[in-house]
Amino acid sequence: MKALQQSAYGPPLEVVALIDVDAPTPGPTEIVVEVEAAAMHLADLKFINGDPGFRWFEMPRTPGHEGLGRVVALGDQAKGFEIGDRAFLPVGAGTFCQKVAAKADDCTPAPEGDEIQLVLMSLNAMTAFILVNDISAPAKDEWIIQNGANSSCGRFVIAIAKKRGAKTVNIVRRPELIEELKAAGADAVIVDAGDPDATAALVKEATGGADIRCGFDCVASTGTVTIARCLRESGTVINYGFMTGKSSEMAFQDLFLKSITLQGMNMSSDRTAMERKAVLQDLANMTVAGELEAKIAGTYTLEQAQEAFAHQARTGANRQGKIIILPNG
Amino acid sequence: MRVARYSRIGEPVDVIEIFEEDTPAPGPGEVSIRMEAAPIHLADLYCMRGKEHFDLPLPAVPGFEGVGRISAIGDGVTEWSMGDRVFPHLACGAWRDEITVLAEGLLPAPEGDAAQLSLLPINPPTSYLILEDFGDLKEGDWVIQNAANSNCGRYLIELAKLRGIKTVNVVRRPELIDELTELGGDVVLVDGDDLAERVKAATQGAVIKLGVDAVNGMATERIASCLQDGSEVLAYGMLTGEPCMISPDTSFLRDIKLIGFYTIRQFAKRKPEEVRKVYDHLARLFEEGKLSAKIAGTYSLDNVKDAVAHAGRRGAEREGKVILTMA
Repeated sequence: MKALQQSAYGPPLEVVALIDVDAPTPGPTEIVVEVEAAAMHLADLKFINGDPGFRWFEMPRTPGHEGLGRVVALGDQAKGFEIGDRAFLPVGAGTFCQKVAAKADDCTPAPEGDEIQLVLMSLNAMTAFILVNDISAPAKDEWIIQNGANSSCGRFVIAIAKKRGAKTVNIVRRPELIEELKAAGADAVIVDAGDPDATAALVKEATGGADIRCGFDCVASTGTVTIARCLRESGTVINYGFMTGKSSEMAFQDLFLKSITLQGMNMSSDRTAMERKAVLQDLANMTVAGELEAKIAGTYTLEQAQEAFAHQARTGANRQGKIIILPNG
Repeated sequence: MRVARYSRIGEPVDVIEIFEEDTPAPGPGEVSIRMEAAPIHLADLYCMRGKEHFDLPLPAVPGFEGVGRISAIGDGVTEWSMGDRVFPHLACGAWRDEITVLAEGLLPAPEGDAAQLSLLPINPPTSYLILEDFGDLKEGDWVIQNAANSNCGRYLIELAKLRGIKTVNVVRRPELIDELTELGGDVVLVDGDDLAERVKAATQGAVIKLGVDAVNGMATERIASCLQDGSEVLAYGMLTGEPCMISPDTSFLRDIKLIGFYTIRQFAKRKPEEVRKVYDHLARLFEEGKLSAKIAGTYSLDNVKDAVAHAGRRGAEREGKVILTMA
């Protein structure tokens, strides 16, 4: 079978190659999944480049954190799946290849439906779900705020909050996204004014001066300051990403005069593995029902992986959504 | 009586002036307090300079805290007698000989050195509540703080010692190492990029459960880098005026929280009798000689310009708190 192999940390062109390897055979409790779709994330590029904080792996390795596909082989003691079933692979399975073996217990049954959309449930949609339902848990009609609102996760936040009856105010950098995100269910969309106070004033106007208790930050740097500035006293900024690649900044006035807390999002949350599987299935069902929809920038085969990495490396208007790898064409 | 007042924003030494005026007689429910001493805080200087968020309506009398004795009693006030020592309400404008205020909310002050006592209402509760309300600290646990030679920092060393909590103290000047070790600091280190490694070596790899930051900028991240995953950094001061920096690794991967700490808001979470208990406890520690500030100098109210000039110097040029005395 075909697989991408990363041999060292460095630019994808130099360190990632398409190779032929033997297809995996299932261990006793494993299943083998023929990968229909694998999602690419900014983090995948960071793990290939070996950015600071992204040097976790032994080499060589197959990149790809997220994938789903059809069960094509079963171990003797593998439970819960039959040949031909659809399964979500566990996060971090190394999915940029044609077939992956994984413990059946770590896989989650996946519904029929568009694999290109469904493949984004385990990371971006799960993150959005945890941010909205576990960490902030807004009441009906309560406002939450986020930046990076046009990211895949940001769009899932909009949809999941809407389903819950909460309202979102969304900070973006490009005015052409306003209508697009409103169409996706955003209650208010603000173009970052370049200054935390000015942006906070726009947010106040757009929300009728609502008290905002929780904000999600995936931008870091001064993006964190802006979210903090928009919150009420004793509010919480939850950082879950760092698009700028810089540290989060917190102005003392927000920390001190408003007692704002900055916390990271702990992906492990308090849910058991079983509960997380149930959440994943709920999210998948929402996708099948058309309640969650990611913007897809492009799909690529394994042979086109270098084009896919180059596309992933572009930002904003030059990328326009998620990159999906289709390992079996 | 004399009162120090500023009527325009500017350098403290230029704008602060002494005026002579009468003390208003206490009305019903009020008392007059003859002030004995009041400290100069950086916040007083920020107010006179009109720093953002420190702009008071003008004219204004500085002085967030102090200590004095009841000198006149209005109708209906039964809980105080002439000569009782009290702490006036916070931010009352303490730089004056005498002040007339509502009797309600005054706190009793113990006997002892007035200059030392005048600092009791603000900094000691800050250090006390930091150790009390965060990190779930028990005997033998470690905390790390920067600005360890600040007034709060020094109280924190003393208060931690009393509870058997161990402190790593980060300073900017090596000459403070011996001084803070003598005060009770378990480890004292000079700040720097390799802080985490040096802390690890000096504490034999101890788990550090709470970080306390009054410096901000990258110093916040350096404190965070020394902590156990999942713990908290409290930001309570703003010595550099830079934003607190927390790296994505720290917040996202290591699950470190950055929390703004403000003593008044922390007190607001307590019932009045619990606040009173904290003050009684701190007053008792003071009486027992267990809480002490480093006093850089005491100045008569007449010399308030010299006093604010001294308070405006930094570090080795100041060497502690500057106190105004009204005797």
